[in-house]
Amino acid sequence: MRRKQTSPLTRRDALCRIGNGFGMMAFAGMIGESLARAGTDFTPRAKRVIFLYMNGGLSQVDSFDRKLALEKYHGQPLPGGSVATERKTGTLMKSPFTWKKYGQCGMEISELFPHLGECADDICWIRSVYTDIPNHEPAMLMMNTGFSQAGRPSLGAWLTYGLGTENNNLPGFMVLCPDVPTTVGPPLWSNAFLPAVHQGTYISDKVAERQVEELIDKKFDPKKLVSYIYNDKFSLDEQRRELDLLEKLDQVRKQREEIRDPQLEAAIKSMETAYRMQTEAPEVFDIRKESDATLKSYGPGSTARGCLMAVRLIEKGVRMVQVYYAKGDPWDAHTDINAHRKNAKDSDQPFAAVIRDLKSRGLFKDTLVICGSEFGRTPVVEIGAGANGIANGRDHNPFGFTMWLSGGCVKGGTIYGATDEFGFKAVEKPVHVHDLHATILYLMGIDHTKLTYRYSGRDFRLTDVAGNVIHDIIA
Amino acid sequence: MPAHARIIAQAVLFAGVFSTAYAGGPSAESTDFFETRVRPVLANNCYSCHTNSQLGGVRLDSRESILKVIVPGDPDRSALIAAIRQTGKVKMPMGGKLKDQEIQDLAAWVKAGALWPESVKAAANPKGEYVITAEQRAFWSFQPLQNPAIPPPNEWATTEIDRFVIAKLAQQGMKPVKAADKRTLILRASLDLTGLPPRLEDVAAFEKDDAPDAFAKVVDRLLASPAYGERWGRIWLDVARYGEDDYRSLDPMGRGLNPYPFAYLYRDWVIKAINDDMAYDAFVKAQLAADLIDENSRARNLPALGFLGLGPWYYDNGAVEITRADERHDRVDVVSRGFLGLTAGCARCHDHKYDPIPTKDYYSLAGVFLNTVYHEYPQVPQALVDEYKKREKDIEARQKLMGEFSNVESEQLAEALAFQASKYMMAAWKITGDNKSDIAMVAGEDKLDYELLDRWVKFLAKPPKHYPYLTKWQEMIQQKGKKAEAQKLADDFQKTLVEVMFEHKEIKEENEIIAAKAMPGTKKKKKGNLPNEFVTNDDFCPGCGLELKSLPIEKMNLWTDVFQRDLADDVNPDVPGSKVKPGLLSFRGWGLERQLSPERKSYIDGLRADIEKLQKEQPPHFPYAHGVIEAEKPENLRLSLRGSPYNLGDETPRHFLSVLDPVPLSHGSGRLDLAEQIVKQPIAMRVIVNRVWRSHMGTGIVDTPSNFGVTGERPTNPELLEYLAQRFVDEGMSLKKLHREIMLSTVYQLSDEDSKENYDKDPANRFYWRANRHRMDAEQIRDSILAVAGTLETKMSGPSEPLTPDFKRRTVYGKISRYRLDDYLQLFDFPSPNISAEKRFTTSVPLQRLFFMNSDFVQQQAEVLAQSVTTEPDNSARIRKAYRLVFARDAAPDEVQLGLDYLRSEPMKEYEEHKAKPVKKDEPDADEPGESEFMAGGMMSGVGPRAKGEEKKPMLPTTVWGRYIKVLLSSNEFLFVN
Repeated sequence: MRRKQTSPLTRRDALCRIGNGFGMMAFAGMIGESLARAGTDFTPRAKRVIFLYMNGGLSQVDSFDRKLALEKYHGQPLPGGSVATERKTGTLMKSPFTWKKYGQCGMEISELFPHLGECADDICWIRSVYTDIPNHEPAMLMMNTGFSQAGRPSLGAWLTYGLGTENNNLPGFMVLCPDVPTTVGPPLWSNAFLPAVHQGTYISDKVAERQVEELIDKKFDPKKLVSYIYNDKFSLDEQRRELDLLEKLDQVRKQREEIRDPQLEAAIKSMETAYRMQTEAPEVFDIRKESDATLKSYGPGSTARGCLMAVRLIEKGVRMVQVYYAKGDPWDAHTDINAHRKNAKDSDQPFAAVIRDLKSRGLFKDTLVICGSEFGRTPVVEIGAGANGIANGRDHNPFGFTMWLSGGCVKGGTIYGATDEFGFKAVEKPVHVHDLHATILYLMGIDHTKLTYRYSGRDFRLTDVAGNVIHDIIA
Repeated sequence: MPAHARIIAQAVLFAGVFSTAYAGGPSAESTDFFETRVRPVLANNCYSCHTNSQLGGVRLDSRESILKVIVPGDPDRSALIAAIRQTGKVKMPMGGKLKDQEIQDLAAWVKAGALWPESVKAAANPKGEYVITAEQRAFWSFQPLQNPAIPPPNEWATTEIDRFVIAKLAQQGMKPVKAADKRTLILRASLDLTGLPPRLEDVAAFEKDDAPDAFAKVVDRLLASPAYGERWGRIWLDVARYGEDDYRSLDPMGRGLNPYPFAYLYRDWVIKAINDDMAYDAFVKAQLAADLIDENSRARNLPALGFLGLGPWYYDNGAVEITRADERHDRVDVVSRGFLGLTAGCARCHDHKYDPIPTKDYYSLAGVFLNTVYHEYPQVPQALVDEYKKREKDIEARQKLMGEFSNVESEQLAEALAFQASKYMMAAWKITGDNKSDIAMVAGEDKLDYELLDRWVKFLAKPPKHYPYLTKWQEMIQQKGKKAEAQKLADDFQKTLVEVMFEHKEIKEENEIIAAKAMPGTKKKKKGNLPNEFVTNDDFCPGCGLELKSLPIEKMNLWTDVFQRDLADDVNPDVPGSKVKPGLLSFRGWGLERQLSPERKSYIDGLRADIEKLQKEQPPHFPYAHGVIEAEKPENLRLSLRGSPYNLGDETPRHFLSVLDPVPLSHGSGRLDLAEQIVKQPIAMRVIVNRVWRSHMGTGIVDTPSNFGVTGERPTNPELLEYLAQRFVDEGMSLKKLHREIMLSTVYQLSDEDSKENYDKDPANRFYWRANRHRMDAEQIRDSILAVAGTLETKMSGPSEPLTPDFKRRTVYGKISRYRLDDYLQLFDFPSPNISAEKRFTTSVPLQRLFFMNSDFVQQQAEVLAQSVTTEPDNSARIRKAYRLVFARDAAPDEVQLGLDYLRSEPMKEYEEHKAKPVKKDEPDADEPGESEFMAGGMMSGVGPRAKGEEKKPMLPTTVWGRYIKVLLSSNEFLFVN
């Protein structure tokens, strides 16, 4: 096992030497590594993660998991009776969308995702993902934190805890979502009991009105995306002089009182970093710096801008960026599956652009792109009292749905696992969310059983007591 | 043997654990020797790794297993002895070494043949029941309080605490550093006890006071200050995972509860209890069972139940059994770790892997909380409650009436308009057909409603996606159809529409019957909204699981499009906040009312006025304490096999932890019994004194303050811990007396001076050879800035508010959200309020520095300070005054010079302007706060944005002096407590 170390000391060594008290903080400051565990367990295949999240629940049978049986048995009851989901459901319902085969792999994709289709040979589809509970909140928490209630660290928090950050001038884990957050919101990117530094930094990337066709809103100001990164009352020159004064005063006192304290050194060091962050962070967010061609390749809209920003952040060494489609549960097509048209129109082109852009920037190989929802949708029509007027929608389906991975040494142009003939349940090589998490950690070089954190007398991990790495999808 | 007797017997047996006065004693081949000199050493040093977990394949809890690492009669050939002597490659215990005496004892025991008394072997009982072994019982933290001999006097030591400390330091070959100077001491003591820096005059007075009890007077004054409770109350609130909302209650989808609006009553109760120096046992009992304690204190202490009543109550929908079990788990966890320093929560799925806590103990404790139900206790007289509820009912009744009235009117209007469909379609034909007439003209000529006609025109032009009924009409329009053709198609459509309308009505009536049948009871089921109220999915969403009848899809779509909502393509009605347009004939609100007859209009106007008046008269909701109450019929919980509430095992009668004293918890839920057991436990006393010690000294004697089990730390100075716990009990469990005793010790008053010799031996200062320098916590930083600026508002208690720049009260009165913790608090290492926190981290990250550089909060407070500095005659004097205000000391000459240099380098224009025309506070915004702090949900709204609707207060302009003072406020000297 190769151990990549960022410091001659392992974290454990250092803690043993310094003890558990204030030494920990000083140590963290000294190596600029935050309170991260040092090193990896396996050779990392990917260094960074982009998680594209279609919150609300993408219908697998209308996107990436075509079921001919649905066309054949449209309007007939599910053999053996329907499966209980959140609401009442009726007969089988065919997809209203047309399908086409793409790439050398011949992956069949619905008309919702033509641009992704063009990237088919770079994508690995897992068609047999399943989760536990058919409601948004618990399922979103499961997908993001590995547990159905709020209060556990999120995937991104575990990653920065496990691997630290590659750019001290930026937060290691960022979350982009236009407008107010998604359903559940902050618990999805929480550090929970991990040190606060691992919390996801939420950025409201509302850079364009969704209706506006302009590529970038005129009012867009990258400095306004992170609070405290910038205050127009203060100029950088002024702040430089303030910092110089601060450092001199500290020096004077240190000499006078003969203080040697790594904590204080760390505080001074982080001040310099903060100063640099003020210029670096807005720079990364400034998508106006991109060429027209790049901007056009992502297309218009907030999701597109979020995707582009994600790539820029990753390029600067941010460990994980998560892009939510929009507030609430926009993919939640209970009433009419046609609502997917608009969502897909906003997402398809930018998702494909992420893959292409990562390639052109030479980041594709060691960036893992994950895309999916907290659950899928039923192949049967929803008819419960929840159905809002017309009955042309699908209910939540935790039993089997599709997620896709790309980059990061994942085998492109492949399909893993399968649902039953109607697309309801994962029957072939089922992949629980814990398995997905275990695989993501594995690709990042981490053994999911070893990335633990002792809290309240117990060693917690992202995968709880479960999780199997899916080796078959790794190139 | 009854439990009590057994514990006492062990107490006698293990009385020697902490005694150093062992000279002769039993011989190495005796049982006594094993029980007093061998077993405790193994239990306390080896069993965290070498029992069930068998690390390195080594197990040391039976003769059979220990024989693998010893050779009876030959210690020199025994691997175990080599390991503890640390002569070979394997050095045990990890990270430390046994005392010489202990090593000699173990070697002597091996030499004498390694006797392992038979009685111990009997532990493995034939029934496979969980048995706590004597080794496990021998663990240090389960022992009765020892009364350790106080080490001899020493010239350094002023108190008994000091004698324990110096004895330990001497043992380690260390000497304490010099004492802190008086200014450092009073700064430390003030921040420590009140969370606020001392006032300038207090520092001066103390520096001048040469009386021997000068510091004692300071400590007494601080303990008497209400700020003491605000600081130490908050320290307890970390343990109590105090939060003012829950994720389930703040769901953006609007489900479930609002935040707990009167959570602050619990916070205020804690602060008051601490200020009143409530005895610790009463403090514990009130929080677990105030509703069951004597009448006299009952009403006063009910808010204490917030410890249990404020949740967390989790998200309900989905798997109710799991949710309820998770809630009970939280209670078991906070009670066992918070009060007892035991991680009983680990025994949920399996017997505790390290500590003697079987799963049945877990479920017997969880059973107490199974029978504890959320309850709201009004904090006003019952008459006021009744009055409020009556008014609320009045308002609801009228709102219902109004809702029903408009529903009926809206429905009737739509029905009437359906019969005019043909007429409107013909009018539309005139407009969109060949004639291309003007809509206003047509409406006037045909005496039609303009708005409705406009709707028809748009409706008829919509692409026919959802039903086929207008296809022919649209073809006709395209082909420039003639009037007769149009008339026929219009009549046909009206016929279809009316038919669909009637069919829908019929189905709706049938559905109502289906729903009524499915929901038993005379009243329509209401959505539940209290924690504990959801048992099934149907409670969460009444009727959601019903299979109702529906029209065929195309007819249903037509009905929806006309009578309910516009079936536009780009609107997803499942997304809250989507702009859903009304159906063609659906009129609500003003659109409906303008169509009403005068009598009906005046009826609805009257109703509305009535509601508005009643709402205006209704006082704000009366406060109530979020607490708990006993379940009506207490029952035992069944054990969940492997933690799954779907896989139940035996019933587990409620009783206290087996290893401590498994007495039944049998009265009602058993909550009061539980509380009474807790406060009897020696371990509970150790845990609380250790928490207090840790908060003063920086590290605990046990630095895993909520884990005194096998996986926790062993005390670095066990005798001192025993002494403190015993004193605490003897002194009536008074926290104030404990503070006083700790703070008056010499060890508390040490400086933070470095010492290379000591550092090499004890870098983490676990034996307290100096004071620990540490960064202030989130509350101390914010409160100190306000305090030195002179802007701190000292008003105590009351509802929490967001930590905006305008909020000048102490940080403990800021909102604590579990859903979205305030960004400022989060940034400065405030612990997650979802789980009981044993200690806070101190991180040092750049974002913290950005807060000092760019937040308006810091700049504003610096400007306020600047105003009081600029009254001095010259810059040097101003700098010196700034130093006194910020650091409570005089500036050194080089510091003054650096300040002067800095000021000289800055353009002073703004300062001069500022001096000429001081900004008054009531002037309009001199300077808008930077927008960076106003981002929707921006990452650091903490001390940034104001609450919505809050009046903006004017801000002071940024000046050079303000920036200079901001530098002082950002300095390590200000932020670190020495």
